[in-house]
Amino acid sequence: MTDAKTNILEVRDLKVYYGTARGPVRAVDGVSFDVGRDERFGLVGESGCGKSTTAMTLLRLIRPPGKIVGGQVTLGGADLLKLNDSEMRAVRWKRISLIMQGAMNSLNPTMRVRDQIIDAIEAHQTEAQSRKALEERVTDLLAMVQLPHRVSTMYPHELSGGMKQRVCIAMAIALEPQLIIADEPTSALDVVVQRAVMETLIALQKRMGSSLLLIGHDMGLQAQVVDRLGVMYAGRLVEVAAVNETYSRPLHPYTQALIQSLPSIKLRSRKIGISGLPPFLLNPPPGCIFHPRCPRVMDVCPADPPPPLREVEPGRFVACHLYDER
Amino acid sequence: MEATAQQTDLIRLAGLTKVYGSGLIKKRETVALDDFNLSIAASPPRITTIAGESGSGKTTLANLILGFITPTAGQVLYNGVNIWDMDRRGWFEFRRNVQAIFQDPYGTFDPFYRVDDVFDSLITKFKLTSSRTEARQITVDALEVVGLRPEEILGKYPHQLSGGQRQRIMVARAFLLKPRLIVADEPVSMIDASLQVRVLDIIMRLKEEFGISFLYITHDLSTAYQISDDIFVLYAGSVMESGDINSVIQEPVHPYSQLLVGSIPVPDPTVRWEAQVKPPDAEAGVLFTGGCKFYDRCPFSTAPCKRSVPQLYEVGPNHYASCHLQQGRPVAQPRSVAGLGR
Repeated sequence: MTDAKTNILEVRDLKVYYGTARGPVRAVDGVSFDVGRDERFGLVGESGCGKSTTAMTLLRLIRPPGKIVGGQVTLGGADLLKLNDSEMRAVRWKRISLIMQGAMNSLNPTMRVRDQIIDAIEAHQTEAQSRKALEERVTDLLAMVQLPHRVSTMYPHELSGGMKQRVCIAMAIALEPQLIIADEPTSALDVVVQRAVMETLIALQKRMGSSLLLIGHDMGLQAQVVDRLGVMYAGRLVEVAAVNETYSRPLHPYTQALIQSLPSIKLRSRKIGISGLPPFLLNPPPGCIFHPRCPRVMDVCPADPPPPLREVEPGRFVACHLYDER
Repeated sequence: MEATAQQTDLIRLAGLTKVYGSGLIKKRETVALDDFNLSIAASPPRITTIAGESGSGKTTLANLILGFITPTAGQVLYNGVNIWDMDRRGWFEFRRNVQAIFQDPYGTFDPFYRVDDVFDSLITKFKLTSSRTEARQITVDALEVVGLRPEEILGKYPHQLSGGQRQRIMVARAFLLKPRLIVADEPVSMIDASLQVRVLDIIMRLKEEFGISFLYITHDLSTAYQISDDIFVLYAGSVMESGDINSVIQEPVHPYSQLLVGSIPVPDPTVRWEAQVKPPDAEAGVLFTGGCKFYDRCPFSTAPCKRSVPQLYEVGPNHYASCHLQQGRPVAQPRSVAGLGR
């Protein structure tokens, strides 16, 4: 998809459906993207577009009625979707870690911070380490996420939201994974704290030489953080490009409308928004799934099968008939 | 309450203060809102933003204005009358003319009732009409104003509608009574970006076409900048900076407003976060020293900041900041309740 420079993660034609009594809901329907080494890649979209389902699929954490129906997820040469459960367990945390939305609420309220981090290390590390070595590691990790040492003996309720989220980041980087997936890591935090936490996460990602997959709905946050951005709509990727290009010259009409409707503190103007509602995935519209809301809809859009994601310029991918070769 | 010069104000908040106590034996007090002053004139309509992060007291302020909680000190005056001194009639009139829209478009509906009930119960409560056809017409009109097609909405249950539709129904509900003021507490923070702007646009139309003023309570300065005329920036219950929205957002003078504005993730990859103000180390709680509440996080703090609460200085036309750095400027408003929040 991109040039042959080393990709840490390659996702191809991923399909995840949720079974319902009224038929399958195609939450992720043929998603393909790569994440390069050291790269920060963003997946952005509105609620229900499948971005979180994509993240959970990479870790194989999809539970019924969700089902991975097809595709490949290649991490360093191995297809994660073909591993057995114990092999997959060896990948989680050690090679891919996850910072979840509201992860700060997933801390155990009855355990001290130090013991929780040690727990996470021991659960995923194969060789046993001495308690002293583990405690030293915790000290290092807390320093890396810029928390004072005293936090190690504190309980979660003694910490603020931002501090708890830093503890979650410390756990996520404990085994120096190649890929950190962060799903709305700061959406529960205030903007000032959000900025401080994200800057810490970026600094650590750079220092460890890991890659970051940032999942989120906030186009502002994505602009601040990622190198390349994938825009999802109704279970599909509609555009993938370097973040500067996406914002300065979006190609897909959905991306264009999304960017035009963003409130900004730089310019005061009356915004239009996108007419209509996101589709009902049980009964999606025929053809391109965005066509009922698209301001540039053509005859071909409802008639032909959904346009595939194609490279229309070097490094720029878009799924739209406007860029069909004529 | 004797007649005063402020009688033309639709709403006036005077020295409004709310202190929450906690702990049975060792009493600990939290000052949620500290000596807050604000006037909204009867006309022309204005959109006033109350901006702040969690714990800044903005929702306490909304609850005080709506009469949900009683102030510890100070008053909420509606047409010059303290809402807690009102007779039944006055209270009824106040409740009709001051409406609210809340954050969660999912939690404000009773899932067992059709959405029609939202409107029917309101029409009955405020005795708008006893005719069923008229009631229906009022409802249809309100839905059309917020850009909803009544035939797609009426008769449905809340779970059949999207978050954006539900929030617009709540706007329609507030509009139906043709109030003078709508208190909107984070009305768009749970709606997707593509639908957010439509709700914001409706708010502006209600102001321009129907003369309704808004108190827009939010943590999101970007949406505030798009729709409002004035802004109050709250921190730990106190106003740090206030005034004309353009001045405050484009040229913030208070270090806290500067930090807040500088932390907004701007949707432009070429304008990345600048590190001009140091990110705070102490996120947990505010250290009350009896001085400026922003003291321990402020990169410019000096000795007086720790000891005394800064007054509200006039830093420009309709632009005020409560910061010792502005000393020497004209004092806009001396502190009326000193020493609270120690």
